[in-house]
Amino acid sequence: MSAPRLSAAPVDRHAAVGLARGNDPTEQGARARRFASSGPAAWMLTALSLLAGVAAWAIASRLLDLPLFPSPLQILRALAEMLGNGVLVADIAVSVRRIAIGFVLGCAVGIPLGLAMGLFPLVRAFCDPIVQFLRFVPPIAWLIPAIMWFGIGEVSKIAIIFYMTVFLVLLNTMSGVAAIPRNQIRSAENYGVTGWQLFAWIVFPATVSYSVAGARIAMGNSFAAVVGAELIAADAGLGYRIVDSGQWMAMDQMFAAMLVLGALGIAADRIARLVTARWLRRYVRESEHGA
Amino acid sequence: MGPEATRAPDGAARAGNIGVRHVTFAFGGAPAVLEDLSFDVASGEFFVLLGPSGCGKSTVMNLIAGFEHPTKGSVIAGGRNVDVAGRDRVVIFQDSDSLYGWLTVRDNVAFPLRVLGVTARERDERAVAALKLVGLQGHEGKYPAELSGGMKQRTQLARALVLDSPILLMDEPFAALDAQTRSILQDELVQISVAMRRTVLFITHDIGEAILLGDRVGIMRAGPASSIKETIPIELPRPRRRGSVEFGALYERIHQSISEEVQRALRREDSLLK
Amino acid sequence: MRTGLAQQRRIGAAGYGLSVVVILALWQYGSSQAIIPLLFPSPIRTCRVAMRLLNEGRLAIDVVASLRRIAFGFMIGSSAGIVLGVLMGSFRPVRIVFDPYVQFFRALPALAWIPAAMVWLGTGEESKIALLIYTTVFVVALNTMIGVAGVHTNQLRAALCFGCSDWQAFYMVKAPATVPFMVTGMRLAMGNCFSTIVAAELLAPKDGVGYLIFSARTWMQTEYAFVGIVILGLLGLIIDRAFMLVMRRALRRFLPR
Repeated sequence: MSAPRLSAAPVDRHAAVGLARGNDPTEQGARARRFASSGPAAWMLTALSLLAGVAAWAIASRLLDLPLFPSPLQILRALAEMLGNGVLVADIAVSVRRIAIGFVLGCAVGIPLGLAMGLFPLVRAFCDPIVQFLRFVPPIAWLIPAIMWFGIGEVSKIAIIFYMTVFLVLLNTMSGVAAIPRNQIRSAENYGVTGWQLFAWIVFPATVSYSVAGARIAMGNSFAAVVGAELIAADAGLGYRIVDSGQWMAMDQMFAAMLVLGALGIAADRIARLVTARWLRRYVRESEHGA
Repeated sequence: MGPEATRAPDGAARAGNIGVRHVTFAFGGAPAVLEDLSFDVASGEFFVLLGPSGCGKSTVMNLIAGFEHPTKGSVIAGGRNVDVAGRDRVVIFQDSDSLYGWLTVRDNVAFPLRVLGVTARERDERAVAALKLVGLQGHEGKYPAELSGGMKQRTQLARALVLDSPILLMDEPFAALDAQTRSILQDELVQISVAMRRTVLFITHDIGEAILLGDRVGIMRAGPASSIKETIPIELPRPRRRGSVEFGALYERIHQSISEEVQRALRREDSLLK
Repeated sequence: MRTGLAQQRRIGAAGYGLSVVVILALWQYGSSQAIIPLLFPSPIRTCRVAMRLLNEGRLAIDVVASLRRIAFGFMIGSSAGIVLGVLMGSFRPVRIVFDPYVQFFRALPALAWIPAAMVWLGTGEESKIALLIYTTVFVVALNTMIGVAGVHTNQLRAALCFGCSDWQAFYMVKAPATVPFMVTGMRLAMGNCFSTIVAAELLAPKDGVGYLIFSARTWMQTEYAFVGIVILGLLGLIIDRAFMLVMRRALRRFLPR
């Protein structure tokens, strides 16, 4: 779980395109392009790499022969078992629920607040010192106070996600408001668009891409946040499953849970990208490659 | 301040002629950008390639520079077939993003010499000399981010001159500048290229610029499958005045030729749509 | 004009100071209204506790412990990340081979590895530093890779015109152009390190800022948590600013504007 980032992926679009298309005119770049142009070769290499990784893992676990170092097969077996008896599904549901509630609430609060605050430059200036300070405090640092205030139940964990989401979305939305080209506002005023109309037709659409960027980062961080909270103080959820397996030294179960976590994280990111591409395309001007 | 101060030590071929012979160029399966395009540039000549937007002028330059290879036909420079980019043909780009932001102006200009392994002292001397030639003396210590557009293009020019390459390839170098700076740089470019007897292939879409700078102007057809429509010699004595009667006559003639091309292209698009 | 700018800066600084004062005042007021003052300490109480911990030497121990771990993990992780990123960005086969792993491990937060690390490496320094290395490597590698691959085409073309060999193109053009991306990656990694170390120290409480926060619950002294949080904020701020200062000094010309 990273400290809140104010800007999205640090990739500039040029670099992302360069990576995708291979715009290197040197001899090395030519070699790279030749390699890539044989599509099947790339797929084969990926497959080989994954195979090699799994094989290395299997061999290592065989050599070390500790119950603490499970082989890929053992992990898969544990995964199947935990999925079968519903344990893992319950954990996933609990964690996802916490993330969903915290995230949705966070966006619901963060976006309007960010818009409101962004429209008053004095408010922004006022908030700046505390923001510059708080952004370096990792959300999980607030877990202990949250537990002391809200108890060890759902609220404390959702509160962490909520806080982090509000923080990110608020800040990004605020900088979105600040980034609206002045000429857009001026020409709107020229046409007699003021007040609520100005807000709804000009200001809000312009900030959508910033809010979305903030939301995507928040979503990405949410998994780490919820796992962190569940590791420390929970009795259900993926994080709890991981730490509980550790206490029983059931490493195969632990890794099964971690596998699910990683897969969920990737899936969430893909879904976010899909949603953005599908419905928010006209608001989000560029497609970013996440880093 | 003569050519001696910036002579390349590796004795690059002094012949600076360019030959484009029946070149066809297409990206993969796409329709050809250029088709059966041919023209020649004599050594020491200032040749301007003029054409409407999208006609493939930059592609021609990329082929001569060696960044791309023709699908059919050949490109010759300095009497040899063009295969890869080389020191005998230096490119000046429209966007000054080819300058290196982490190097000072002087180090940017000295960069080609660093590649050659020239000693630091000689590098500095030659870089400073080249900068003086383009009027940037006193700015050696600045970084590209601190320069105006015109100064950045001058830096590119100095960098291109420092190797004493016989051929300069310039891809709309002044297009992004304001009119005053453009006008000043045009005049200076003419002086430099004439004094140093370089072959220049200059690409532009600005007719006035073409007439001002070029010994000959090659007018390209509108794309795709573009080729050279006609070549017009500019026989005005230098220094040329933009307002003279002969200038205006040439302008009319070239403008007419290009307009025909644009009309033809529009009609062709219409017929394709039908 | 100059006096105008200086004046503006003075007003800016004054405004900054004013807002800090107001925020502290709000905090003080808010804490005094808290239902159970135990749970929401005022800035004054927090300060007092901080002073006590400082005098006891406890604070120094915790801060140094955390910083030491972060320093090791961050430096090892960044070096490895830069090397990996350069290789991945330069050679397509390398990228294809490592890409699935980098993507997956990037999605799997270091926190998820904490229990595994503790089982394998114990609850001492090694496990914590290993976690910090993990959380640093992939972020730095990914950003570096994108930097290497994203060098402006015209910069490379110009280099080719001047007769650069592949190796020269790499160390004279690609490497310098990648520096800002490396720096961005490292800044992100540092943020990751902070959250990872706090979580690790919460789970294996022995010493460190995370332990300090943890002890708030043990001793029912919320001040400890607040002190820890304030320390984290300050440390993060100082380290980030110091980092950027050093970077700008040493590598100013590599960083955009």
